Amino acid sequence: MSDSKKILIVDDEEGIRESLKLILGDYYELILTDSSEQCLDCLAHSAEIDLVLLDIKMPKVNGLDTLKAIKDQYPDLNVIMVTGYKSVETASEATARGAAGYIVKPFKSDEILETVRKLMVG
Amino acid sequence: MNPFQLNLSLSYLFTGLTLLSLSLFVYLKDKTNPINKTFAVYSFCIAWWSLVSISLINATTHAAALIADKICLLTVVFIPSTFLHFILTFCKPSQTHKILIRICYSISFFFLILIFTPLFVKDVSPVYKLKYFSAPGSGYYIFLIFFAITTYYGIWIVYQASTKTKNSIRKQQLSYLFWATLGGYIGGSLNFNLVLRIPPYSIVPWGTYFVGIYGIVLAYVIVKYRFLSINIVVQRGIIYSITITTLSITYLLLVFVLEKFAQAIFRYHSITVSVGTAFALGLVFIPLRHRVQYFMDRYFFKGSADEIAEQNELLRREVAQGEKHKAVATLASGIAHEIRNPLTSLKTFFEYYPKKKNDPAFMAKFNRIATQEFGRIENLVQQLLDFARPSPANFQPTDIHRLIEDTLSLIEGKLHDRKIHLARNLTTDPRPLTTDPNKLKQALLNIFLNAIEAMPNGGNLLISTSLHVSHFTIHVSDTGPGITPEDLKHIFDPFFSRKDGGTGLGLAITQGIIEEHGGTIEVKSTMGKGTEIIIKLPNN
Repeated sequence: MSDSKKILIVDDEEGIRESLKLILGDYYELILTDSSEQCLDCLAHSAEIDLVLLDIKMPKVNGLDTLKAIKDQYPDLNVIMVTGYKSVETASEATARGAAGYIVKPFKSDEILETVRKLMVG
Repeated sequence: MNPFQLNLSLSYLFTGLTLLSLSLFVYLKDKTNPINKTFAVYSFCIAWWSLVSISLINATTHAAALIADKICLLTVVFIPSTFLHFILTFCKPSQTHKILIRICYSISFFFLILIFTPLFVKDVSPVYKLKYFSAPGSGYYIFLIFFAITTYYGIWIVYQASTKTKNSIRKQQLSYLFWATLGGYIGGSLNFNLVLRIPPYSIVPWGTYFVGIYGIVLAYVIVKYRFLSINIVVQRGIIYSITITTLSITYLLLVFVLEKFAQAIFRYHSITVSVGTAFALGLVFIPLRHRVQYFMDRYFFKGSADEIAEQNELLRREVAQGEKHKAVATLASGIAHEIRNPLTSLKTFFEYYPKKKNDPAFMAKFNRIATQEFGRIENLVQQLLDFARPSPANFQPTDIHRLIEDTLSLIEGKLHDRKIHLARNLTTDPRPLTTDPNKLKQALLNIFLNAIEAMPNGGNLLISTSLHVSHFTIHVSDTGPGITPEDLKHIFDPFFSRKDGGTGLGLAITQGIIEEHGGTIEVKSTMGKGTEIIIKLPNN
């Protein structure tokens, strides 16, 4: 592990969580969660988290609502939205609610690494 | 004959002949159907009024006009009751309205007796450019009230039925009926201007043409609608109307010339000649109309009768498949999105495979995730195929209770695991229904699984069936948390799901299957109490 930066991954699908772990696991410390509740719970209890990778389509509370909840409590925390829906409306809504990035599935590992790295440096 | 008289005569002739032929046509199309029968009687009443009115407005003597007027009114008094009878039969076929219909017919009979007294029609007298037209007696005003009430009530029933129905074809059919009836009655009612001596008079003939067009629309709604797209109905309606009017002008001229001829030769003035000639020519007109229709079809719709029948059948199928195609299109775009998740994980795992193939932990995860994700893709594709494939339906007489039990046996384990209590309340008279058992089983399974999903901590699942006159009902209710009114609106939308890992296809597929059976599916839910699914299958 090159540094000890922490990333919180929120996705209801195991396949996606594990994929992100494969891509980012060698470079960052990861916490995997599968719902909005777990994510907020984790943010409240874990040591400082540097970045959140957040899925938009989740049952119960969706990613956009979760984003709002995160930004209300942690306005400086960077959040990257991950979605299967490539729509201008969702992207602009995510940006308006304070998302730092927007990644569309199926993603490339380079794309993920680059987006994350940029935010970590900045 | 002045231009107004000529135009009015033409409008009566057009309306009369159109409705007379439609009355016969609709009746012969299906003699046993109450809708066809009531329509035939109703349109005959209008046709009679319309045709005899020609003699009234063209009568040369006072006595002839008076007799024509009374003959004309013989069916006019029945227009309100036959109209309501037809509307009730058409809009509410599952109910009988014996009392209301009997009251209406009794009132019509009362007015029928009144015709022979001066109370109904005082006399015939000049109005506008007509030499003779009915002059109302006091009874006529009471009839007008009766006419207005039944008309408003009938139109209101059509409107209500069109807003209530959930079937899109039926909805269009009813809204078509609504607008046509409204147009026909507004047009036809202009005739009261002449009776009541209220100007403007010049628009009366134009209003009367509307009654004929109204008849054409009605007949199409009853007989042909399901087999033709609405555009063709309108197109044909207009073209036939023009043809009929053109022919009518020829006929009216013939009647006129023949009458003049008879008067010149025999010096004989009688309404018998007018009515007789009009009727005889009307008889010639019907077969001739078929020939004209045939040529019209060839010229305007480019095809022989057989080809047109074939086109109609294609259109019918198109209408039937239309809804399904729309759903499939939605499904396909939904599948494209749903497939992205498993595709993303597979892509990533395959990308890292060469680098990590010697890591046993990676390989274990790779095996598990790959199997899981391939399974998901396969499942999605299968569901799409099941929904989209126009698989030939395999309809056969089915013991519906046995089918329910077979389906329940598939979920027994799940019921036990979740501590869900199963209760049945099945009718003792389960007549075999014609269904596609495999598809229906799939539909029921989806519903049962949804109910189970809704009760992760146990509850009650109640399945009840009941037999009705026109349908067989299956009720499935659970004691889960219920569905919010907002979600309830989207419950049948493909890809709408609130469940972890739910595809949102279950109920969309279920609805497709039930509709394929000619049935309906409805969901009722109370927050905190549970959800109820009501399936109605036609009882044939």
